[in-house]
Amino acid sequence: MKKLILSLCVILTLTACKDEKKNVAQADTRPVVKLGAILPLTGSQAPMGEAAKAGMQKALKENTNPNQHYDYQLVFEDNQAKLPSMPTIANKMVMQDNIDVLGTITTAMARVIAPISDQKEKVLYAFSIEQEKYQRFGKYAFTQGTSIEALSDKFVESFAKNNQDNISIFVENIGVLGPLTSYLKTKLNEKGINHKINEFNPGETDFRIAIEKTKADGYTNFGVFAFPPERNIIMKQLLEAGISYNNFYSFSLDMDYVAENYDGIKTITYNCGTEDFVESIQKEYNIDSTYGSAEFYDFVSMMIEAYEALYKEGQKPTAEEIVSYIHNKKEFPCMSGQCVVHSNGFIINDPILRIYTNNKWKTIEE
Amino acid sequence: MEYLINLAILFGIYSMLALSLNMLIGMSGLVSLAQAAFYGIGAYATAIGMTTFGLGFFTTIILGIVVNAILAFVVGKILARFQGDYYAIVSAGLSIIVFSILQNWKTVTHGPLGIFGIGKPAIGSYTFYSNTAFLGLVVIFTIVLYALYQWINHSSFGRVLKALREDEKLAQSMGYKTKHFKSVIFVLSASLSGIAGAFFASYIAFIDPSSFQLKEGIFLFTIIIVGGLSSARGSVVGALILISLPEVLRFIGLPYETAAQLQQMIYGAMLLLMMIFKPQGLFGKYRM
Repeated sequence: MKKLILSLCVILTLTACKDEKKNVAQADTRPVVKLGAILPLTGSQAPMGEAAKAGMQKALKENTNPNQHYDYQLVFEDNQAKLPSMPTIANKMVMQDNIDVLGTITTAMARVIAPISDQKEKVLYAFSIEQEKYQRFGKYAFTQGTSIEALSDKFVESFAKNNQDNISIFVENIGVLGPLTSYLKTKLNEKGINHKINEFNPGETDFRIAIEKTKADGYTNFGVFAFPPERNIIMKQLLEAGISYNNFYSFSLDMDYVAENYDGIKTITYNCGTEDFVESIQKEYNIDSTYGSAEFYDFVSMMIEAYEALYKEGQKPTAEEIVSYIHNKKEFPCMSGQCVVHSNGFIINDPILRIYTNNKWKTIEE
Repeated sequence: MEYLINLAILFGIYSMLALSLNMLIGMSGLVSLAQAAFYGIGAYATAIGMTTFGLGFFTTIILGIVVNAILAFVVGKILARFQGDYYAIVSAGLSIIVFSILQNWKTVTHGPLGIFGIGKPAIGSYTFYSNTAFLGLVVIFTIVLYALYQWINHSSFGRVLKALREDEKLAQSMGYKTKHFKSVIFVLSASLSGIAGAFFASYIAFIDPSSFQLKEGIFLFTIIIVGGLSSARGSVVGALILISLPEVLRFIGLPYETAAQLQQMIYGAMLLLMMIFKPQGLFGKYRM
C-alpha cells in the first residue's frame, strides 16, 4: 500500500509541474471556442492521429487572427485507438475541458461517442469512409472522407481503361475494407475482368505462398487494399516475387513510404489535399499528411467559419445552430476543392489516382 | 461527475472480468489468455441478441453465459490436458480463433464493421438509460461476482482448486480428479466473463472485434498480476489502478505536443516500479 501512496505522490508532483502555456493563452479576453479531438496519438494507429492533429494545428494557424470574435483553441486526447475508453474521454472533454466541438478519426470511434454528442449537444466530426447512403451517426454529426465503394470503382475503372485482365487483389479484412470484397467482385464481374481476391486478417505477415500460387494460376496484375504494416509487407513480398511496377496498383494512404520505395507505382487514394498542402504538412510537422490531415484541416476551417458567422454577443452558437448553418450553406471550400455537405452530414470526397516518380507524386486523374 | 460515472462503469466491467479471470489463474493456477474471447462472445451475444432478435438485455446475458459455458466445456476438455506454459499457449490460440471468427463470420457478426445501436438494459417499463442507473446495475453485478468469488474461495471446491494450483500430482494422489476440477473452473470463469461482455456491449452501444483481441486478454492478465493473484480485493484494486491510472495522467498538464507519449511512458514506468517493489501484486496471496 505504501508503494501505491508513493505512486500517487509522483502523480501529484507531476501535476504541480504542469505546463503554464495555457494560462498565457487565456490573457486573450475574447470568448474561447475549444475544438477537441480524440485521436490515436500513441499505438499502432498513431500515424493517423498525428496526421489529423497536424491538419487541425495547421488550420488553426492559417484561419485565425486576433480580429475574430472568438479565440480558438485545440484540445487533444489520446485513446490509443481503444474503443472502451472513448465514452470516458469524451465525457472528460465535454465536462472537464468544456470543449465546444468534438472530433475523432474512424467510423467505429465516431459511433461510440455519437450518443454523447447527441446528449451533450456538441457537434461531432469524424473522418470516415462510408457512403452517403448510410444513416447519420448522430444529430450533430458530420463525417468526411472518400467512400470505399468510390475507391473500388476508381480501381476497377483504371484497370478496365488500360485493358488489363487477370488481376489478383489482396484485401485486408479490417474496418471498412472488410465489406469491400463482395463489392469489388461485382464491379470486376461487370467489367468482365478475370480476377481472384485474396482476403487476409490483420496481423498476417507471410503472403509469399499466396503470391506464388496466384502467379502460377496465371494472374499477372496485382492490387492491394490494405493498411500498413500489412500493406507494406505484401508490397515488399510482391516485388520480391518479381511483380512489375506497371502491373501493380495499390490503394494507399501513407504515400511517403510508397514514394521512397516504389518508383513508378500507381495508387488510388482518398483526396488528401493539394501537393502543396501535403508538402507543407511534411515540412512543418514532419508528418505524412495523407492519413486525414486534409479532412481535419477542413473540419477546423468549417467550424471557425460557422462560429464567426453565427457570432452573438455573450452567447456561443448552439450545436443545432451550427448544424443548421452548415446544412444551409451546403458547400464549403475544402482541400479537395469544393465539399458538399449531404443531408445526413456526410461530406464525400472523390478518390484520385496518383503516380509516384522520383519520390514525387502527381495526380493522373481526379 | 458524468466523467467519473463513465470511469466507474468501465472500472466495474473490468472488475468483473478480473474477478472471473482470477478465479481461474489465482485460485487454480491455470494461466489462461482466452478471457478476451469469452468476454467478446458475451458482448456479441448481447449485441446480436438485442439488435437482430430483439431480445431483452438480461435474456442475452443468459444467452452469453450458455454459449460461453458450452464453448468452455468443449475447449476446457482439451485444455485440461495441458499444464503451465502450454496451457497459456493453447488458451492464447483459442483467443486468436475466436477473434478470427468474429472478424470473418460477416453474416452474423458484421465482421470488422461491427454492430452498433445496442440497447440499454430494461426491467419492465424501466430502462437503464442514464449512466447513473447503468452504473447501479454494474455495481450490483460486480458485488454478486465478488461474493461468488469469496464463496468459492472458502468452499471445499475452492480448496481443491488451490491444492491443484500448488501441486496437481499431490491433489491427484488424494483422489481428486483434477481434470474435472480444471474443466469446471474454466467453464465458470468463461461464463462469468460473458456477463462483463454483455455490460460492455450495452454500455458502449457499438462493438467490433478489435476490442476482443489477444492483447485484451493480456491486459486482463496484467490487471490481476498488479492487483494480486488469488485475491478478490486484488482483482478489484488491479482494475481500479489500470483503468484509472491512464485517466489520472490526463490531468497532469503535460505539454500537449508530447502529452500522449509522455503519459504512456509514465504509465509504463509506474507499472514497472510496482512490479519491482511488489512482484506478488498489491494483495496477492500467490506468486507464479
